[in-house]
Amino acid sequence: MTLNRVLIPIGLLVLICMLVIGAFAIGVYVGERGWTQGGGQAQADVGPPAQVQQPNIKPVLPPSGAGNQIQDLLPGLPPGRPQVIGRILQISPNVLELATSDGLRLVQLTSDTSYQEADGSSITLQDLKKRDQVAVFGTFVFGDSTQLQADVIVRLRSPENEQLLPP
Amino acid sequence: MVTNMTSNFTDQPSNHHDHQALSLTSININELLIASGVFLAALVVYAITLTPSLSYLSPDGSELATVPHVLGLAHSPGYPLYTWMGFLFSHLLPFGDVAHRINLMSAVLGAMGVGILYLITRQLLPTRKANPQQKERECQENRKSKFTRNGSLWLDRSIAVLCALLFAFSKDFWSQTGIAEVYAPNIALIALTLLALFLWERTHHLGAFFLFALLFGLSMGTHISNLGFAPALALFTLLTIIAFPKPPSNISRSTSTNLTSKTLYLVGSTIAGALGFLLGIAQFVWLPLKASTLNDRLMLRSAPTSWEGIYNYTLGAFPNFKFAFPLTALPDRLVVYINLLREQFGIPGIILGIIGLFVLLFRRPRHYFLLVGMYLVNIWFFIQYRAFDIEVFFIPAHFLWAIFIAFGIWGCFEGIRALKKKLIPNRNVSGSFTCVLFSVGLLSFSLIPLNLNWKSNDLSLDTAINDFYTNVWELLPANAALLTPGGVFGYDAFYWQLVYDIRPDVLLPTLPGPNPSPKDITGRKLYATTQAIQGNLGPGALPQNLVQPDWWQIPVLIGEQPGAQTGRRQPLFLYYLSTSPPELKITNPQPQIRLNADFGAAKLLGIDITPTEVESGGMIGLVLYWQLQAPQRLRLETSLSGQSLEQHELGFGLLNRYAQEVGLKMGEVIAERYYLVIPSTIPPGEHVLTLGVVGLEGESDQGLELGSLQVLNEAGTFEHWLKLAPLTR
Repeated sequence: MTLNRVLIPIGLLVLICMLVIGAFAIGVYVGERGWTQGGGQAQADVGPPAQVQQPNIKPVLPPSGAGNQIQDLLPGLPPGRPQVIGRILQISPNVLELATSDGLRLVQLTSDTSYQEADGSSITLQDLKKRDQVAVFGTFVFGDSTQLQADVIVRLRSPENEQLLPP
Repeated sequence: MVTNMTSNFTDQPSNHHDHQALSLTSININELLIASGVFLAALVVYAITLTPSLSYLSPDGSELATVPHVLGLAHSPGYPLYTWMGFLFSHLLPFGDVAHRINLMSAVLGAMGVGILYLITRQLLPTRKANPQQKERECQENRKSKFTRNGSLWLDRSIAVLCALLFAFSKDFWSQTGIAEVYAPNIALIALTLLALFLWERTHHLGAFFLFALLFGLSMGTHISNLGFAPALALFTLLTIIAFPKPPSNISRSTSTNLTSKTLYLVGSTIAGALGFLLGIAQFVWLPLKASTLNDRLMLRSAPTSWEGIYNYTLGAFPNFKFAFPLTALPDRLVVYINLLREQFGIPGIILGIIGLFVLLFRRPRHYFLLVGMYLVNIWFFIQYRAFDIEVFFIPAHFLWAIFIAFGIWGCFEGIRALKKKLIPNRNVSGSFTCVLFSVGLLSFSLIPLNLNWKSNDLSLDTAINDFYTNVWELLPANAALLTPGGVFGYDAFYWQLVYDIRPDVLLPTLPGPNPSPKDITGRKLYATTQAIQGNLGPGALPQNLVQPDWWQIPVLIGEQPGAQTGRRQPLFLYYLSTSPPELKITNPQPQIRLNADFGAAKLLGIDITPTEVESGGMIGLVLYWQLQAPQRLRLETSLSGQSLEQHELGFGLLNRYAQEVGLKMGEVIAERYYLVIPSTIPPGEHVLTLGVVGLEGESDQGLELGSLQVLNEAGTFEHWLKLAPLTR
């Protein structure tokens, strides 16, 4: 019983510290991003999917003489589905932190990583912003546990740009 | 002397005040039966949702499915115990293939961890003691009070069952019980370690302490981060010895004798613990013994062939990623963990856990320091750990949180009971009917995570790797060379040759080591399941000089790419490596099926499908004839009766280079030729093959009907996968 008289106050102090630190962390987080923004939710807030063009509804463009040579076809994406689709939580020079439907994912950026808009036009890492929705094509490498090194990052949508769209 | 003192502690009178306060609920046959029931319930769910064979859910899962069967050495820190247990499962179970048996090991050991969690919680939950008035009343109403006690007992049991099942069906732990990975077996070892520790606490036998230390040492072989629990375990041991009751008066009344006996006991337990722990970690002798089997570039850099190597391979592995975040990032990292906790148990689970921490502190202070100490170490270390799949590292913390939840529920019931007693003092407040009602109500809560997480954790249809490689081995010409990633990530291909000796004529250049030379592949037709020319990164990358950068990498076979697994799955492509360009452009297209469908950037003139009758798990050949119309991105998805099979960009990313080197104009026609795997999960019957336009996020149109396929199922799934195996094991 004497032992408990010592243990309980210390334990109480530890517990209060735990709760205060947890509350502080949430407070900092919410202060920076608000309750519903950013990556407090590891589930990706993917938003409504973009409209997809339907086959057989577009007029066939007749091939004309000038510009027929394919000199500027879009750079092809690696085959298959992207390894990760998620919303950017943090951007640092070497790492992109994404909230995905599978949880938080860390993507390694290298000097070989290329960046594109959804239409294929080229962008840079500096163009990416927090909360942008991106698709990552990459290679899994084995470092301390598993890492995904990004080959190509495609920005699917940016909340900033979406706000500019007409209703 | 130490033995004598041990028996002094062991033989304490049961009514000793201090001892009563310390005592844990003992495990009797009823508790074991209930634990068995919990184990079986979890096992049945895990078995139903088990991955049939190889899986990409864990990127190193294929390695962890192969290494135990061949008794090799897994990646850092080596996982010797996991390897040996996997060896037993892979050789003793008479059904499924080897990967299936290793997956089943995760299910069995995961369920075992859940069953033991019940026992641990039952031992820890405080026993309700009747006060003198209650005892008197019990004497008067003997029958009724017995009923009441039974009701309380079943309520406590229900709380323990509920917390075990909440953990069993929590999102992240459940996901690890269906694949070849270390996390489910690790939980079994952590649970066994705690069970043995509490056995020692109850009995004070040094043999039990030796068993605890042995299990703790062995648990390093399922995850070496368990070593971080050592301070909490040591503190608990010390506190428990200090709290041991005084010897009975007929043995000694002297405080100094008591102190001496405790000191002697401490020395004895230290020796027993050290012996047990050393015996447990002796498993790491496996590392230098098997170092010659390593084929991963990164692992070979710290090969465990010397003391320094063993340190670098185990405790010193991957130093760059430990404590990888600056102090300013810690609030964010903590929120990441809190959110993961929410995903496992919900907000009510977090609140109950916090209440439980207070109850645990006041009811069982020593156990509080043990469990909270373990919990904090896990959280502190892994919130600063840089890993792609960070959530699995917190599973031990979730295991401990489930115990906190149990205490939270228990505390809430105690609060309600006390309140009722105050409000209605003359009435028995814990009637058996009420308790049974609460028990049933409590257990029904375990259905919530079961229902919520079923879809994401049902891996029973994940046959993509096996279906793909079955067809790869069938397609490859004699004496071909198949380039795969080296080391850990190459095991989805190595598995077939190492375990089943399939197609030994096909050379896997990276199987013996990560640096094959061009000489090794000279004269062989070259194929690859990895981006051999571009995007070849990391320790598993092929040597720079192995293939020439100007070669063409032409897709030949496409495996299933289920959308639900995005984020974990490598694209399953077999490429042919060629010095000459593919025959993309054709001048006189003659498709079997004419379509003339406009997809915007290109017009699909028609398609060839051969054959139209296929065994599930087999493949069909496709030729798509496209007339190019505009330089726009066109992403296509092939589906069979609504089930997505694959996605690719028109021309497989080769169009630009082809246009530059061979020449290609708008209006010209190209032919995409490839084989497509028909998943073995497709039921027999007639199915419609469709092609649609798809966005990167998976959104797609209804698709264009290409034709119909007759899918057969004449061979069993495992038989189909192993049809080329000379020897089925």
